[in-house]
Amino acid sequence: MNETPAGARLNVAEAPHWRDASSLAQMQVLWLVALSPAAIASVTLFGQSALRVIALAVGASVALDVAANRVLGAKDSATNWSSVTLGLLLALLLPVGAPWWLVVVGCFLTVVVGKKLYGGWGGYPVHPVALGYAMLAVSWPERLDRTASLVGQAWDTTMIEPVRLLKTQGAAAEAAYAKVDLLLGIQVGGIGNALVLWLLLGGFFLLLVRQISWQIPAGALAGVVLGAVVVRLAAPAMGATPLFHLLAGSTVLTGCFLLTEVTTSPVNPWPMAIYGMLGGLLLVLIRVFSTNPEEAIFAVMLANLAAPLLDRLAPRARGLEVARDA
Amino acid sequence: MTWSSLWKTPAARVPRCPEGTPGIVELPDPDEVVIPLEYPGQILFRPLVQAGDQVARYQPIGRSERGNVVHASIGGRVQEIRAVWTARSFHVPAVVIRRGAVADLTPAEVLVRCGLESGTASRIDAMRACGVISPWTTPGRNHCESDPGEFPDVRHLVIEGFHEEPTICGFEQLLLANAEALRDGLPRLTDLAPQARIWLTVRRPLKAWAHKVFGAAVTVVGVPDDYRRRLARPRISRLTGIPIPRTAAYRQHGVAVLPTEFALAALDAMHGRCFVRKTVTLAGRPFARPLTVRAPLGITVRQILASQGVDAAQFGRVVMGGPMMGHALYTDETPLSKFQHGVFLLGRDELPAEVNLACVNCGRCTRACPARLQVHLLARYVEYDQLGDACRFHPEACLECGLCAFVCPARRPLVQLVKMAKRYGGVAA
Repeated sequence: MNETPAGARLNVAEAPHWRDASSLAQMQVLWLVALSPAAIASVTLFGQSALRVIALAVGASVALDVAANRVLGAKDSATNWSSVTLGLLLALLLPVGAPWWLVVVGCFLTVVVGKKLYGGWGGYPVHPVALGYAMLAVSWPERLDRTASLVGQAWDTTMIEPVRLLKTQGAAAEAAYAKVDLLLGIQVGGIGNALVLWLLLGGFFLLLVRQISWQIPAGALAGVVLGAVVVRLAAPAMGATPLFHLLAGSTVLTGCFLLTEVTTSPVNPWPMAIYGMLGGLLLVLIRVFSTNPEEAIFAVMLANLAAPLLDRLAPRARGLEVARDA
Repeated sequence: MTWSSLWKTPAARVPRCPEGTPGIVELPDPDEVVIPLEYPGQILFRPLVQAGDQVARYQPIGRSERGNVVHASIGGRVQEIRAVWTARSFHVPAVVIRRGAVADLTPAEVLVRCGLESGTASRIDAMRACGVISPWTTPGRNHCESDPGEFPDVRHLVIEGFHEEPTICGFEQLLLANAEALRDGLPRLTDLAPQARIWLTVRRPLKAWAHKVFGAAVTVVGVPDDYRRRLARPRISRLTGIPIPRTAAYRQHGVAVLPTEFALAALDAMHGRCFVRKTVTLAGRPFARPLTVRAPLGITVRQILASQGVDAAQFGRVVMGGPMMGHALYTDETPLSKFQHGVFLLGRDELPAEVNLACVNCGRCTRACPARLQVHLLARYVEYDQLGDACRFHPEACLECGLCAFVCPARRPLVQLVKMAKRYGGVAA
């Protein structure tokens, strides 16, 4: 019976014999669904020039992913759709009508340098999009000027990026923008990073389908509010209200889509909340005190780097030996 | 890719099984049974028979040092004693009995064969003689034979009216079918541990019914139909308020856990009736609803399935136990033992793909873990051969419930990795 098993030939594997239907591709597709309201709104608002950048970024990301896979032979493959999401996220951050070479270089920095060189999805220490965009922001700051890119846009609002106006005019900048305009995305920004309402919709969708945990966006919200309040108290001339910081620029994109990226964020509830808070706080501080408000993307990377440390605040396992005489 | 139930927490996505078919189908004796002389754990039995002997049903065929007994589950002739592989161990001596016309032993004769006298034998000795190993243990890991002649100090006796696996409903069907017998016999069991508090755990829909039948004698607890909440260890710790470490047996903490089947067997044993027929729930592809059957111990999975017109060869995987914690069998000739409660079948097209992609650190495993292990780190440490580091994350607390691997989007063999840390981590550290 044991040497030559009689009977049927059976498949043997370790338990569990049931598996959830989730997969890596499913995760990414859900993220794409969540990003689609912002992408569609952007194409509606800015037309062809936004569509061009989005299509170019996604196409270049996938192509670079496939090419890099050929060379590096990583376990990470383009079929997990992660390069599509990365390309789309990068495109949303770029200005309308960004030159093609900027988009392609950004995709290279994101997908090849940010993701592939670290071993693919799961290996990178900081969000590839944050890395790629930060390198663009440092290398070609003038090319990321959103005001110049929206010259033809006939909007009844101040045609300067809110966070830039905040730098020059301090708290007085807040009066230059209607809050409703900011919420609806009628503000100078990139292709999709300032479409607050649509990004919020996507964020809620991600929460609903449990792709992200509420602790990170909630922590980021708390961090932004805390940072704004602290700045207001410390330097009233520079401090805008928390609501302004929440609605201006890419705060919502950062809180819902960049900080929540699974590989670079902690996994335990409390660490996630602290991490979100750290990200939000740094975002406001960098925005207010740095020379270039674009550098707020560094908040994401700094928080990312703190994530493994924060995860050491894990809860104690249940069911361990306790001192019997205690 | 399934899009439904995405809004549920990952752990709540473990499918609920449909209600079991009511009642228990009694299977006839097969032509041949293979009775392993071992229980999972350390207990080994010395054979009392040899090839060619005539044996009666209920006749002791194996005996351990402490007087625990294995019985012939059918009458006939001993064909041979050979090594078999069971669901959980291999190269176990087993007695093969071919069915024949031999009169059954009476309860009194069973006791005499074990050196006891009917009427004067203590209840504990009678239980041992009838194949019910100390009721204050639970099957599996907790099994050891070092129990004293008397019951240890038991403060909580938990009678489990269901099994943690979603597809196993034998315990529940037994409770429904034998509720009066259990209620009337319970005092004989509980006065062995007079200071113990008696609990009966049932699935929540049965709570009102159980309360009506068992009344004030026991505390009835309704358990929701959620796999994570069904898991016995954390649930019983919560129920009794005693933090029982994962590495300790319930009995060391004054808790006795007794599924209905073993409670009923213990009551039967007090009357000299042996535990030779076992219920087992059949579930999976060919069964629209789980079906509970009762068959003699030592019947093979093939014979059980054949009785329902099912051929294992048509299926991809045959699992002893349930879908979350069961052991996949490499042959359907594996015999049924006292501690296997279910057979679960997967079709060839249902086999979950083990693609084992790189971890993306999503943390679903860690958040799903009922033992709150840092599974995402533990598994990667094991994967990269850092068993010593893996052990800092307490793999010994793992319940092996399978939830981490169930929710993993990268389809990693997480339970296996944690088990590896558990088994070899101490060596490497």
